Amino acid sequence: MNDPSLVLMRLMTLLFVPSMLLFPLFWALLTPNRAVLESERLAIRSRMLILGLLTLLALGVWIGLLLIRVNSKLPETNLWSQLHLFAWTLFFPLWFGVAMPIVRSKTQLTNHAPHGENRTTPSIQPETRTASLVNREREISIRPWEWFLGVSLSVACVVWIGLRGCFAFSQADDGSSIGAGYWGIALTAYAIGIAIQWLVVRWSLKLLLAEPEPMDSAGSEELLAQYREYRRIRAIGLFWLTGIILPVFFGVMVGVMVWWPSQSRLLGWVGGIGGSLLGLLGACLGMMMTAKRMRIEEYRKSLDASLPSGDLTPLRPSL
Amino acid sequence: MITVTLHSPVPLQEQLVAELKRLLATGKLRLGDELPPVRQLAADLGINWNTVARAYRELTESGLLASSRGRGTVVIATVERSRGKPSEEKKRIEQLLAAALAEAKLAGLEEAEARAMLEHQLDRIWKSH
Repeated sequence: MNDPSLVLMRLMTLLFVPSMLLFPLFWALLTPNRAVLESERLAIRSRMLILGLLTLLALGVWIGLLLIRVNSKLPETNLWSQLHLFAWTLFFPLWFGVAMPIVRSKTQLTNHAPHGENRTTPSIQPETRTASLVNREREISIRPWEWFLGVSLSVACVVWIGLRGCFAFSQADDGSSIGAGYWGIALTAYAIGIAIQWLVVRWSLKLLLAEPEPMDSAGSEELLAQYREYRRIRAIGLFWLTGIILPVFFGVMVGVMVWWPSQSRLLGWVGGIGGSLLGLLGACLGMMMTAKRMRIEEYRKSLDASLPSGDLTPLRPSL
Repeated sequence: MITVTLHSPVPLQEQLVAELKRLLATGKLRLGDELPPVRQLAADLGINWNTVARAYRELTESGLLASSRGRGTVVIATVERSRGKPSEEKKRIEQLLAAALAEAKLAGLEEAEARAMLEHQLDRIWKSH
């Protein structure tokens, strides 16, 4: 117990679960409420209360499981005492089920809803809606060399992990070793994981391009340029993070695991710190992009507000 | 840019078709130009994607657009080339114009107002090349 790294690791394990469970509540609390209608603001408040109660319930479950572990005579063999480590999975229903809808309601970026329904009152809704005719799929900012680099690095990682199979699986001096079965599972898991990851990258980019980019009534070139810049940075960030850095990071981790199994302790540290840094990087990019998108939305509203009503006449005017 | 008016008695699909035809007539959309995917345009305008799909289909059936997998929806003809004989086209347009003006009168517009409206649209389409 004198080993400081062990103490730190235990402390991190203990703090990990409550941090995960409290994160959705904090995120929802820190998001500024931009809802216009009083009824919507009231609905958000009641959903915040539900989120608070559910967070307390999740923390209660975790504390209960922790107490079972503390009181257990053989904690390592008791299933209930081990379950406290998995209490963090309650994060998912809290985040996706309650916090995300609250954040979405608080930060309504556009007046548009799926399937063309208006979620705000007609007085807030602009009478005319303008859209650019540029096909954004043709404007994708990922260059061919970047695709090539990403795919090549992923393939190189698979080859590197695969090459381990050409050598004998003997025991190292410190007694550590891996078997052919372990290597096979690691290779298959990485190869399948990376193939799915590339499908996710393509799908995410497609989703990004299909995000609404409502224009002001006059079709401002400046607004169009701002959307283009926002889309470019977001696409590049998403691609580099999920298409290059993440596959290489996991590739190196799995590679080290099969080539140098004795380095498992170091690998644990690198994995923990590297994974956290990657998560932080993703979160920073996400927050930066959300802020930029909000600024664009405010700019669009200011453009519409500065335009006298009825300035734009459609081809067939409303009679 | 394409603009539609909400809460208008003119259906959104008709507005979209009219707007796209105006863009073709004024040369803002040219032969070979690619239109945005249905879902992108629908999301940007905040309308149902079926409305956009129907508008695209109508223009495809008129011979103005062509859709294919991979290439998307492209302009394949300008308005004047899209229909049959010029004399028949003139008659059809005259009927459309007569119907629009009759609608204006029924809506209580003065002759001067209707004339101003017509001139505005003439300027918008013919002089914006």
